[in-house]
Amino acid sequence: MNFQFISTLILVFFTFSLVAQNPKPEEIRATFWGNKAEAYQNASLPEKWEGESAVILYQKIGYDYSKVPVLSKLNATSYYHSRVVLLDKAAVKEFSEFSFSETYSGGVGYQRLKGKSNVGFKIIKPDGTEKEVDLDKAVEVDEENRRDNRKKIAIPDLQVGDVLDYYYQMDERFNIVQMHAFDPVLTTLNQDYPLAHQEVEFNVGDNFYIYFQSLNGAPELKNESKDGRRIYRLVTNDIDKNENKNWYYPYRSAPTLKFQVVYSKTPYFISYKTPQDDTKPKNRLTKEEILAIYDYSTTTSLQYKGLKKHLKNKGLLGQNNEAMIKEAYRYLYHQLIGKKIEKLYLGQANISNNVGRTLLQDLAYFCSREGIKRDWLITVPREYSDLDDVLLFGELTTLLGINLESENKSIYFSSPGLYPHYNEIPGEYEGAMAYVASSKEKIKLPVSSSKANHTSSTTHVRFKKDDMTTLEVEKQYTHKGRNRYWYQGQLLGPYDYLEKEMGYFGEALAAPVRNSGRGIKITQEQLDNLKEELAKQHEESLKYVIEDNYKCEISNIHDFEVQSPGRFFEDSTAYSYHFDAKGMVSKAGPNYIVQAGNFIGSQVEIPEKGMQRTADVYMPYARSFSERVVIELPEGYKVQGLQNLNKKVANEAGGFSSEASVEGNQLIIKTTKWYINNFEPAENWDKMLEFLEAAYQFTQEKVLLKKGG
Amino acid sequence: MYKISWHIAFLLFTTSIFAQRIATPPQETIAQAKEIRAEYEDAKLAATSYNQQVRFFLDKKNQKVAAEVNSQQNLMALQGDYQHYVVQFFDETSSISDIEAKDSKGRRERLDVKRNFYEQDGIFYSDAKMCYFPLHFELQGSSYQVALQKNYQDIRYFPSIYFSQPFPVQHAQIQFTIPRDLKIDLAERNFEGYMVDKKSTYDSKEDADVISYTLKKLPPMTKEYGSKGPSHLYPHLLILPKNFQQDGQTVKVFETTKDLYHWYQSLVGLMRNDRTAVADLSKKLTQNATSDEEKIKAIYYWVQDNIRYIAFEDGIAGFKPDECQNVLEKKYGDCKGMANLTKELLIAAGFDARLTWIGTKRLAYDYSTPSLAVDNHMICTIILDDKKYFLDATEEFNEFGQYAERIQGKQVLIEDGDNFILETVPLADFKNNTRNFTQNLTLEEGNLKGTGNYIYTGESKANFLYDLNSIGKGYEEDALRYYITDGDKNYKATNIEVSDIGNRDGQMQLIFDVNWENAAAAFGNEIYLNLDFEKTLDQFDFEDDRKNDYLFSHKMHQVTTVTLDLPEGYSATYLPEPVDIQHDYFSFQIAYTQKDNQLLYTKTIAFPKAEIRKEDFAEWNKAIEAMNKMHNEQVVLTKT
Repeated sequence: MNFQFISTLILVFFTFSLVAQNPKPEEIRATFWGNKAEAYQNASLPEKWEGESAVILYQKIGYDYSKVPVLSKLNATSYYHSRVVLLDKAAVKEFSEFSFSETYSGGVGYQRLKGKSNVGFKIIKPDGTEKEVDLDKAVEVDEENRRDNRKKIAIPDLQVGDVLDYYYQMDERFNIVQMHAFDPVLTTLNQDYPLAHQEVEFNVGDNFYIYFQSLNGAPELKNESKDGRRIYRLVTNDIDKNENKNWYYPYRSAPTLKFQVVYSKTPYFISYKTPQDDTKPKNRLTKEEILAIYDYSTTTSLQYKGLKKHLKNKGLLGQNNEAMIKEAYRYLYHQLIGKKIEKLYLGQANISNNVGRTLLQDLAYFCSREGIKRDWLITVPREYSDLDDVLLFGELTTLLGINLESENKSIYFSSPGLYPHYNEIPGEYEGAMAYVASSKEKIKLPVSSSKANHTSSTTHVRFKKDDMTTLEVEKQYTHKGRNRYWYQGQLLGPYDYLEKEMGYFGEALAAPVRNSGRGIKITQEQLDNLKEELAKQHEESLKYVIEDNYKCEISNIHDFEVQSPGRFFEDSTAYSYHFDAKGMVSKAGPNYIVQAGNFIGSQVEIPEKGMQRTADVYMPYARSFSERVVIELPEGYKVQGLQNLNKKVANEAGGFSSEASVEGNQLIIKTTKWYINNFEPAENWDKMLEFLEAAYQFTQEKVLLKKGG
Repeated sequence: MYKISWHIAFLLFTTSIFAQRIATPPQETIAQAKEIRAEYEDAKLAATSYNQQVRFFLDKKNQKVAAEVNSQQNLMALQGDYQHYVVQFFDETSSISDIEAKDSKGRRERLDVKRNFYEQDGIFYSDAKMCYFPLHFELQGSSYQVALQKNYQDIRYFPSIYFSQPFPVQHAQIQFTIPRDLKIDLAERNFEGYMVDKKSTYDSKEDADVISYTLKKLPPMTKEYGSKGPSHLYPHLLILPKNFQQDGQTVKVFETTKDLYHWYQSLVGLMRNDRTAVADLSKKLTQNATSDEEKIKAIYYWVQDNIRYIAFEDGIAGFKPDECQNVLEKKYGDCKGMANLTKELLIAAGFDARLTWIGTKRLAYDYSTPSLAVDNHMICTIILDDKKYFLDATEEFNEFGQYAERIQGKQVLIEDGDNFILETVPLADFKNNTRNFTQNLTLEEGNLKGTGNYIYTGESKANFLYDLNSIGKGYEEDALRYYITDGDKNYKATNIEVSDIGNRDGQMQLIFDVNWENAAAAFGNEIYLNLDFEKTLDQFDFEDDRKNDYLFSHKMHQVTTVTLDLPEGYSATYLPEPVDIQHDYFSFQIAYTQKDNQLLYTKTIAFPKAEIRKEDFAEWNKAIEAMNKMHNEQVVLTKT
């Protein structure tokens, strides 16, 4: 189990730091264990959770930040304090060993961060006696990185029924220049164990700006400020443990907190153009603040000259149509990413995280210079939030929209990675609201249809001559739209597309340069190793994909062939392969039972427990699948049971339909499954179940091959 | 491990690109690399030679026999662009020094040598450390010569030396220089099948015997799941220090097993057990017991339940048990601490309990060899009415009188004052570990409905109890459901009832209602079905290239019985041929029978020795194929 009560969303700027101050351990101990709060002192196990493994009776997370008078320094204390009752042996084991760093250093690059931490553990026996754990018994476990002083401790005398009370406090001191932004946090209240009482407290001085938001029923912060300190507290009780569900966005459905604290000498910082108010927590970014996230005035582009020349050579410059934009995208992608891919695989180049953004900027600059209408669209991934609930800059993403007036068409771009996505908004932004940078209007981003994200496959099945229970299967797939992303990542390697893409720009794949003295070298060995490694990975991936799809014994996978990688303007990723399958045909005397439904591949299985649902259904995107299965019937056998293979369910959430027929010596099965939307409210879950269950049931249907029948 | 992690480090890896001249290996070296690669497909590196010179000497100051091992490894890459980590282990009684690596032209490499703790699964803290550094091989056939020295302060902690490495070794030589005032025996193990060249000479200058062993063409040590421990598999020498001469006196090290025992006893003697600290608990635990067996169980089970196994292997603590009062106070300990507490609680209750040393099945030795290599575990023996019972509290759910597979058949060294007792832990019959799975079903519209019942005994029970207790109460029902249904949506289990999961005695039982959907298919007046839900060992065949025997966690005996009430008017018109395979190491018996209006499916699987030998793999694979064929066949019921 991973213990992480803060989940970091983004990392903002660390400023330079000095060695932290050093509060006395006994004072810290007294603060935690002398806590007079009723909820802490009288923490008891709610009856309804007696059957759990462990219950967190009390948990407090606190952030205590102050500016050091006169000096440009911040004192920052953050802590975690928990009382957990251990109700079985599994929980005793889980909480019996801890590791921690007494001091640590970290940060990004040259920006160092240092701190000192204090921990304390005590055990409260069922009869109320308390035993503190002797920290001198902790052992050092990392010799190499002594600065972090990583230690492990085994908690002694821990038994079922005991309460473990422990804390971890970190004290840091930062040098500040103008401002310091502490790590942002995005977390659900639910954890691995039920939680009886939780507090989150902020205790800050002037010039500390608190950004805080409670979502999905989480309680609000209360102002408890006194003595010149701004104190805000959130108290929550009775939180059930986490549960996993299909198509579930926890930050959209479960009680969630989002927060960040920023220190700034002035009320203007980060990209806020309006003065920020440190006297009360802020729970949303305004439209203006969101729009100010990014400076949209692109003043230059390193690629511009080259791009113009390329388009001129192609005879496209000045046409200002989609053909020109496509070519521009292809050129920019190649210059910034495509030409580096092979070297990336060879470990000789990096592709920085920002390169996708650079590409969008270059494309935007080009459009501006050519007089093509373009705009930045600021949005937020559906998984995190609604645009109206955005609080942290890290939640936001910028997309580029280009309006081709001549063709009355808008095209959209997100930052590409190793795969280019021309005019495709990734599913996480589809249907999300976005601000248009120029007009400041709020728009809804387009949503692709289930037809746009379509997979079609053909499966040709023959019975092996000398063993009817082994099938020889030939598979052809075509994935369109967003359906192709996963398969591209699983089944394509750089050599499936690079040669053609490099060749388009008159460039070639890496050639070995041996013993070249100085400079970058690529040896034949490196290329051979890479190809060998890729082939191995591909073999494993393909086997995994097939086995996952058919859940039977797969062997003799061969003749994998890519017809279309689906990277640039081919609209699909298409490939084929062959394999042998055992386990889908059973012998029954002279006859055979064929699990005919299984040929369409495994379908979503909703377990009994998942039949009831109160959380909304967030899916990646609308999508559809069609399968055509052709089974060559062996001579002398007749098929029975085709009626089981004809089904149809269609409703407002989606559908599944199938039909089967015998044509000559072929059994032909056609199925279609479609999810109309990328989101369904919880009340539509029954509708989804109708077609999900129909599709699953189809995979269970069998036909009989009756000898001479 | 519950880990406190406060900061997330974002590491940006950059690949340094620096210029370096590459020395092209000669053609014959490349050819050699290709040849070795052809033999060992997965190997990326080989040692063309791996030589070790072991020199023993008397450390007069500490009155110990010490050893210095100089090694030279000629490493050659079997593929280009390969990074290999040279790793050496050491601890508080040994050290690594004088590390150097030279390339094929004799140029010294600048090495980035690191030393750190060696963290092992299941061991909380150990003084084992590793010293490691990377070497980058540019081309196939590129080579380095690595030399280093390892020093052992005390020969007792240097009990064995191996010839094999994780990579192929073409030529391995170990040379021992044994001064004549030291008596050290070398015991050869697993030399069968190797060409061994052993030479003995006398070095008059050092007044020492020089013994060298040369082995050629050693395959790499393999990591195969379910393999025996390395002492069973690879050629090695046990270093058996007998005695040494000092000031005209003969000082014994481990001349006989008694010397080994005396050394262990001397460490046990260092303990200051406070028996008063455990007396109350012992009394409390046994006060309501009406028989000796009940008393023993009360103590043994209490230790299993309340003392967590947490191992500290730190210097002498790796051999000396922790005092009973400490273990009781901490509620954790390693095997020695748990054995000692068990012993002291039993003594306080008036029993004759003894500390007991044992080497688990992982080790290929017994106490005929006096060496620290022969054992790795401690348990407690209780002598009751002249009968010995072995109590291993680290086995959390072991029932009293039953023994884990890992110690069965192994010799134990039981303390007995100045003497010792050698005994053997009894072998259990495989039927002791029976898992019975019974289903009584009826057919309703393609679904099989009825009841299911699992009964576990012996190690099958102990393992199940361990798994279930590890999951936690909050997830127990989900876990049981998953266990029964194997995640198969068609097999629905409801009203699951489980016997007390804290009870080690007797049998464990799991009962539930079954609704097995899509189990039967009807075509005309025929129904087709297969009553085997589990299809055990479906794809459990051994690959041709597996090198080692396969060990199961314990001897197994699984009996499955399914009774189906035939629908009215139906009778079985086709039943698959039964399977009956009997072998010393495995047996499968599977059959359908019809009796009156019931169809009966019985399957019995047994691994009576918890092991499948490599020489039986072909037969095993055939048996699996026959069983799969049966799993894949359907019964035909026809309406008459």
